[in-house]
Amino acid sequence: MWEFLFKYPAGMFARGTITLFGSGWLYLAIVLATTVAIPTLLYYRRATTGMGVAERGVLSLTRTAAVALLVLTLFQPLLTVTNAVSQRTIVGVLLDDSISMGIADQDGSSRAQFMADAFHPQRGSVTKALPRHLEPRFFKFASGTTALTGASDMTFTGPRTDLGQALDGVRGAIDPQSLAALIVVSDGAVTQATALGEKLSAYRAADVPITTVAVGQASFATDIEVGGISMPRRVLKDSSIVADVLIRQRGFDNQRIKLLVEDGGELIASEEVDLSANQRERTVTTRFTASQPGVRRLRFHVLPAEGEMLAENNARETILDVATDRQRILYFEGEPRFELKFLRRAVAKDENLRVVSLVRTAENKYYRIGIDDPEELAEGFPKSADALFAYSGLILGSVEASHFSADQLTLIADFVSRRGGGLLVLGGRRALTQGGYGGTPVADLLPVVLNNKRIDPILAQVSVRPTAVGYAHPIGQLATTDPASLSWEKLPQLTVLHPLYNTKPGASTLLEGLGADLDKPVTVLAEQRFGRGRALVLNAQNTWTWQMHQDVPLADQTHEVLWRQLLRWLVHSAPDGVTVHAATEHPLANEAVEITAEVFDASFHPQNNAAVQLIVHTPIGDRLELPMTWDTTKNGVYRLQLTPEHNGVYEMTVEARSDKRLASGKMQLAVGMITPDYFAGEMRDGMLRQIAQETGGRFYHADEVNAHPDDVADGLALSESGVSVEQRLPLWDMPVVFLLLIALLGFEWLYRRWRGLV
Amino acid sequence: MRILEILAAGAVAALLWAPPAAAQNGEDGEDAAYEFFFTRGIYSDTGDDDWGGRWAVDYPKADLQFLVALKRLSTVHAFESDNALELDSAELRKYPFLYILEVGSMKLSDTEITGLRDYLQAGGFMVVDDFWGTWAWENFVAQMKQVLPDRDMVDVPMEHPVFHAFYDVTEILQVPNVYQGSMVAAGGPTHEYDGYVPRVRGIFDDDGRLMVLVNWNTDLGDAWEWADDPNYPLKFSTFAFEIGINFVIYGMSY
Repeated sequence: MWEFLFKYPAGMFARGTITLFGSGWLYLAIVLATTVAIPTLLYYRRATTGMGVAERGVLSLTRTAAVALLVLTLFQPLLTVTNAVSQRTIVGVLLDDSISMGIADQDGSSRAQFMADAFHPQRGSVTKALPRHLEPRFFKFASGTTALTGASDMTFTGPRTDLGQALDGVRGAIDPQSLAALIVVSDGAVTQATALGEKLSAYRAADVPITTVAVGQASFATDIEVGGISMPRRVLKDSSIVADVLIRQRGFDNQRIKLLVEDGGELIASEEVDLSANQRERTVTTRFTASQPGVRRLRFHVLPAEGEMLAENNARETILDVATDRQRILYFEGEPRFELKFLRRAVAKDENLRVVSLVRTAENKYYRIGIDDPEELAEGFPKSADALFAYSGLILGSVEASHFSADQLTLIADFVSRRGGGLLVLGGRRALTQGGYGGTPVADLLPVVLNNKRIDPILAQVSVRPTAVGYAHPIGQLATTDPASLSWEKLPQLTVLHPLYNTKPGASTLLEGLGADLDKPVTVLAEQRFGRGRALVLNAQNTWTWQMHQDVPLADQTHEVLWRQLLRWLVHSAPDGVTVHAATEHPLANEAVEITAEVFDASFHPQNNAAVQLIVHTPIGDRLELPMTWDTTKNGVYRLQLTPEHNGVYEMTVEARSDKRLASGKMQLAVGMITPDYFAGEMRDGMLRQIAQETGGRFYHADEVNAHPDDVADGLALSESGVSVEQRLPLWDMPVVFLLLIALLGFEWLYRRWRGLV
Repeated sequence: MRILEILAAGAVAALLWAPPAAAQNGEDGEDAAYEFFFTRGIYSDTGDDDWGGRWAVDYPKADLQFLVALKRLSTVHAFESDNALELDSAELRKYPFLYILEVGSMKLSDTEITGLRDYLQAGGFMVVDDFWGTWAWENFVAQMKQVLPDRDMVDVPMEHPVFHAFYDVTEILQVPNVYQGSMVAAGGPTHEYDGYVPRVRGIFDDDGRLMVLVNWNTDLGDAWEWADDPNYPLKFSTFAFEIGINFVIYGMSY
């Protein structure tokens, strides 16, 4: 109706401006007409042919309006609008070809079906509604972008959605000067974290609006998803592992599910999980032991429930490197203590831990146990970084701070912060506050607050209990690691000397002690990260009681388990001379992945002059040796782009040679292990809205497109970008003008007849 | 002189016999302030003599004098007094170092057998001293077979850490009792009965650690006890202290 009356769509009036196009003679004519009109009006006023004042007024206004309308048309009103030019404008249509488009949550059919209905290159409702002057160019995207040659090109198998890369792909394929607009049809489940800001800026700069269409349901009615797994990537064999698993659920309130953990098909852990009402996400803690060496593929899954929208997101796999190398730990004891004896015994059979002991048996007299060569520790506690940093862990027993030089105390701090080693400080009469560590660099490392003044020891017998944090910590796992272990409640009391009640911000208290003479629990075990390493305090001096005490059965393994787990935890994250990272956690085959290696010298300073190569063992058994290039902007950092071609685990070792030293580090890259799109399967319209908003496009839900495909097409036609010109469209011949003129004159005639004036 | 020694021991034992050390030493908390207790094992014997328990020979002077030397020469934070406990005491397992002597007449009760077995298997370390000759050896072996039936006593090689933990002990001296020690300068023998050659033997656990260290045909206890006697040869008391401290350091390390 609008276009019938006004010739052009309403949107054009909204975007355009109306101007008058008059010339000199026209203005002269207007002046003459006005000269004629004024006497005419005066004549009407004086007329006495029976017309009253009201009649004269009505007729005067009607005639004046008709004349004014005619005069207006003489001014040739124009609608000035910037518009795309026919035959030279391209509209890009970017279709999501990822696997999540197969989810059937779009009015009972799949998202892919909607796409075929609306955006089929020939038969799509929106395609057909596009004005003739717009030429659609179709692309499909998932992890890559490809021009579409036909509808059959759509496979909906892409495991990942990378919209940022797709936006780049369209701009590379179409001359921006020809691109009028882009329409993106997707479920918004973007699973590649490519920053979009820069991409959108490019479109905005080219004045190309992006219209987005969101497909699918924002929330599944019924679904369970294993949303993520948080656990160490590398542990020593026989370590206790605590894995936090994020479970998402829709529609399974107040139901019980079972989380299963499998290693190579063998069930190694299971947890019953009660799903509370309105709790859409829950973190489940599960525990197991890394008993099988090598690179393990662990599968965490929940059995699909009846009616689930998507079963593929019920399982998630992760890689665990169960190392069998032996970590060396230096235990420096300031005096002979049974703690040393029983600690050594507890881990003596542990193939992954080697405790080298240095015991000060008299002033300046040391007893060394477990050394590799006669020179090791011959001068007592190490004085150089090279010597100390050869260990992954350091235990300080009952030894006072004044035993160390200032340089040695700093060296201990560097051991943790720079080398990334683990420091464990034990309770004892010469340790911690009593040992004068307050105010030293070592005190800065520790998770507990030490007094600068020596204060009276409390000498308390305490029952040790894990805190909530400790219970979920690998060190807190006793019975779960070894069924022969006593429960915490049955363990004999330990002796605590140091009144440690305050931990630092960011530190965790894992064990606390309750004593009859204590007003409040005392910290028994606490830890914190410091720099690249970690520091722990075990504020007890006789854990050996848990081995020797009369109430502890001979077969009990509590003491052994505690120390195995404690020392494993101490060193599990201590880096080698080379650390290796991949930019992408879950890469897909044929996707480039940036591998980064940080190389350190023996003192763990970054090393720039090393010959670094990446040795890759592929899943099909190939061995590749690839040189890595130093990143000149960062000390000690070397990089390489690797494009894995096969699904499976790529085992990578980086070797760095410098002078006579060879350092190495390794990591595993699991390629194609999960299908990311299944784990972000619900439609997410937030980003699609933002894209439209930032580029001046429009946002539609699929339902709106189904109802009004023409609106989408019109929106694209009204784009100001592409090859566009300013058009001046005449308005004088709009039907509404003539209809209005006829109406005015007709009204006057009828009025006269009615009043008997003719 | 042997009789005198036993008489003295019996008298001392009668005078000093007191409740076990855990009670002597006060509260557990006070115990915990110390790292090391020289714990002497109280055991049942054949009762062939009427002079009280054989476990108490040299007690407590030998223990106290050894502790003086231990504290003087090493950093071991030792309780300075004696600490005697029955082998079947529940308290025994609070003290992982155990000294026992005169085991030639040892005759363990069932509870003592169990107590000692559990103690050793839990990680306790027992040093045996001052028994001489074949008959004493055979009795002790028979007793220990009841405690650890599957384990034998074997010679401890001189390169073993127990001889080098603090002092480097390169030979095993036969340490005589106080009477014979005073006669050595006059050419007297150092042995008793047919115990001509001193031996250090041991019972090892499955991991090669010493559970029991046996000083046979030697008397370290007398050398400690009479170290302050000018008639007792210095070399024997020196050796006894050296090897005794080695035993303690080893027992606190392995």
